Amino acid sequence: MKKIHIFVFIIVLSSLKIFGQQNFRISFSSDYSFNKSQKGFYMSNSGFRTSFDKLFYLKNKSYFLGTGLSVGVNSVAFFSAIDARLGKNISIGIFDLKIIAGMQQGADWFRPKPLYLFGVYSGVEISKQILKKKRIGFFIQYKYYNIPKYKSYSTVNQFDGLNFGLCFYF
Amino acid sequence: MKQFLLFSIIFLFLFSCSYLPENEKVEMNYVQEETNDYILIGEQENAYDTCFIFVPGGLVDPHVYMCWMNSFIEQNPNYCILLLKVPSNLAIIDQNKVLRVMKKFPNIKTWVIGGHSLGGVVASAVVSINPTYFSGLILMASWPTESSSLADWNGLVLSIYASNDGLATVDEIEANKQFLPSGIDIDTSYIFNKKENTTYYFEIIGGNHSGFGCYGLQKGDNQADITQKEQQKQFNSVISKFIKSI
Repeated sequence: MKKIHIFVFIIVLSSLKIFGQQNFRISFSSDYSFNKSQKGFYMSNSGFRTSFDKLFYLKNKSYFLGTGLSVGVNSVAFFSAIDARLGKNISIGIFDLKIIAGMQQGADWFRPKPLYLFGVYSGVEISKQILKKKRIGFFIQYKYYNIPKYKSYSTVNQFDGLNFGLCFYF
Repeated sequence: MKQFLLFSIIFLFLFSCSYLPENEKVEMNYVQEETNDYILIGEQENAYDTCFIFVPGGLVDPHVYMCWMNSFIEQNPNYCILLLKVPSNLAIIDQNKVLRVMKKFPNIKTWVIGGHSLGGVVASAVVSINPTYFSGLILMASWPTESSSLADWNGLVLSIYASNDGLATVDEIEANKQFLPSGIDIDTSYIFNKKENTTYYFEIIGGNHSGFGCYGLQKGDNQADITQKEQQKQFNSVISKFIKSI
């Protein structure tokens, strides 16, 4: 499974070299948990993500491919993760709508050693240009993540919910 | 600038690792319910009058306390323990969580709150804001800050500390006695008589800071002269008697 993630990540990295326009994106997000064990807002579960998105066109339709680094707090501890995301761009008047699907892998920071984390997410983002080459947007996405080895310490090691936040493009 | 910000965040995170339990398999025999917010430990679900709500120490995974909590429940099947889960394992970020979790258990009439290290500081702060909600406070290697002084609180306090503690030293315990009700030094054979506005001080000779959980030796702590099991056996016995006296 891990090998598949790494493989996808390498494909995304190599794709970035081939295709056209590049955007630097930062985002801040928070969670609304869907976990059976506890539903509700977890404002303390927040994150910061930086990424590079590349635009490309297939049959006159606009898509993007991106890689990113996320750091933040999840339901268990501090974490950091790399991720790859793919999506479709749709222009609606002055707004830019993105339909996104992505996957991430990383670590929850524990002693004596970090615990492996993987996740998938999918959602939408809407953004508007505010200055030349600068955009501000809002996104909401369903996110699932799993910390497999945390199962030996806890009965709750899989989490899902809505992840929402603000993003800025430079 | 962007790179500096990114590296600063990564650097910060690398030094924010939480301690996991020392043993890879944690005994969950008495866990009645585990959620994102708490772990309910007891012999039966929802049939308790008295519960001990425990706030974990800073950057320590809550499961590290399961080792002695299981023994506590074995000895005290009529009580429950609510082990709090806190964001990023730092209770100070969300102190109100204690009351939010307590509200989920309206049938519990008597609450005793406690905490280890930074968790004890948070527990004291919660008591200072809501003094009538709690009948007792148990501090493990901890004390209240000046702003949340409990010197005039009518409840009972049990302060447990260890002679070899490298992070909450005996001198610091002495220096902060002014923020707690007047005190009595006790040993394991002490029989608690219910009094108001009293602090019972129990020193574990040879114990250390890390011995209040099962997560190995914490950075900055001293080596213990007794085993973790012995340390936990001592404070479990005193806590049991203290809670029974309330």
